[in-house]
Amino acid sequence: MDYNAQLKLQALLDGELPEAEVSEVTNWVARDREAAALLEELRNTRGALAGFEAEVRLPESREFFWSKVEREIQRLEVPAPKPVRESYLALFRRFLVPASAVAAVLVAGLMLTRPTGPYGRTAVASIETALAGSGAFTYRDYSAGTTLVWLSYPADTEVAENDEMGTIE
Amino acid sequence: MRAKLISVTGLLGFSTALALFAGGELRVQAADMKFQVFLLWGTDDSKPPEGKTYKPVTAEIKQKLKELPLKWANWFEVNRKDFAVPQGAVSEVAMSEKCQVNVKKLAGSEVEVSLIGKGKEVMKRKQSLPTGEMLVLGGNAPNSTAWLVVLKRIE
Amino acid sequence: MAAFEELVARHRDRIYARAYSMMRNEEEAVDLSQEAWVKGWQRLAQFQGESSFGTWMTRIVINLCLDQLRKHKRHRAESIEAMSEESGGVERQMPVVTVNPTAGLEQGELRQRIDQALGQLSYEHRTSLVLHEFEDMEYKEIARTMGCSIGTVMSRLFYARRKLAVLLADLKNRDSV
Repeated sequence: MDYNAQLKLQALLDGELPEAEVSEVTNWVARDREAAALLEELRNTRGALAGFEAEVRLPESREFFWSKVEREIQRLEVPAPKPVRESYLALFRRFLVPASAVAAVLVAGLMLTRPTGPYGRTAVASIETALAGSGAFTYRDYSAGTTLVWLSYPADTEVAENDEMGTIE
Repeated sequence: MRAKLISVTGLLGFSTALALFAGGELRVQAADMKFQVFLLWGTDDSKPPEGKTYKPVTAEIKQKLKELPLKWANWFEVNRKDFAVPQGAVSEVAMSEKCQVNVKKLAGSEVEVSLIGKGKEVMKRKQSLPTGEMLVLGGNAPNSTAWLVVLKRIE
Repeated sequence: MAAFEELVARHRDRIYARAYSMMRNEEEAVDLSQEAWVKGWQRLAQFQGESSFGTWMTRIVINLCLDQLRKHKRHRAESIEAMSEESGGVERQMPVVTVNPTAGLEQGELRQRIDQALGQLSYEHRTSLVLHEFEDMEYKEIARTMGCSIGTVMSRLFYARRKLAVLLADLKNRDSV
């Protein structure tokens, strides 16, 4: 049995054989005992693997694992420190060395064309959804037609302060 | 005589067309969006707190909430209201002393939903909300419970 | 964050199982699962719902595992056996295994044997098998994920299955002696 024929048996099992070849290979399997045996072996192996992962469990408790994930998310979300803004005088002095008229003109030209905003950032496009706090989370289930928007409202500190029933009313 | 008949017929025909058109326009304008909105309380306790008469949510809502990543075992209905929103108008629906939902009908299935908490706007969102679909807004409440505002479009 | 925690709780075992099947190392699988969840959080805005959330997350952990496995490969000395596995000539000489490897085995025993057998495959062969059998990916999707041709996927899958059948049969024979 040549190698390509063997691969066709596999493709037949996996439903990946081109439509035009299916009946030809099926007929061959019906006639050829070796081919039938190989197909059976492939089928048995697939059967053995079915459900293999079903009982696999993450070997850490829910709380412990989540605490690690949460810590890492928070660590990565710490905002970068804002750059120290140089005074215009310090900036001018810095570009004065080497002192040259051309450089000074260039610096003046650069300063005149600096983008607006304190750190040269362009305006952020307005967002459609204004959300309370930075912990908002949106989840969409397209098949069920449901959208969940989880807000950090009321703030966690407020929740702790008002730790009694009925405050949603 | 004949000319008079023609002009009367023509006038009648025109008036009928106008009435039909106007009626159609009115019918378009009258197609308000209809909603149900629920204020729910989520808890792992099997019943509401002492003195509160919240009832368990409907089976439909329960099933929808089960499909969402929400960890609370039980949901109770604090309040429920049905309302309609005409085109271009805003319906303001008070769900409790502290909670109000404003819904504005935009073009097609689009709506703009605002959540007002203690008199302040805490959220505004624009999205498509076809008939049968739900928008669920939620957050933490005291004692490890949760609140939800569930807006369901019914028409 | 509470809603995301719930998603983690619901899908953590599946994500870990995928990582473990690919990495064959518990510690690495836990670390990669954790990394996948962090990436999932960062990319949540990109989740369009075109697949289920679990499937989307699984794709993230698969890619992380593949990156890690490629790093491992660079450090690993190529053995002759590994090279012949890659070239795909070995499986043509393996006799057909006629005994069903699941026959007479309890689920736990079978799982243990499969676990052992999977550990003996190279990462390319094991990954092809995992992606096809556990992730239900088609050949072309596996090819895209692994960065190879469909022909290579078919060869690797064929080799992996044949090798697995022989290993399971060997383990069965050994245990019955």
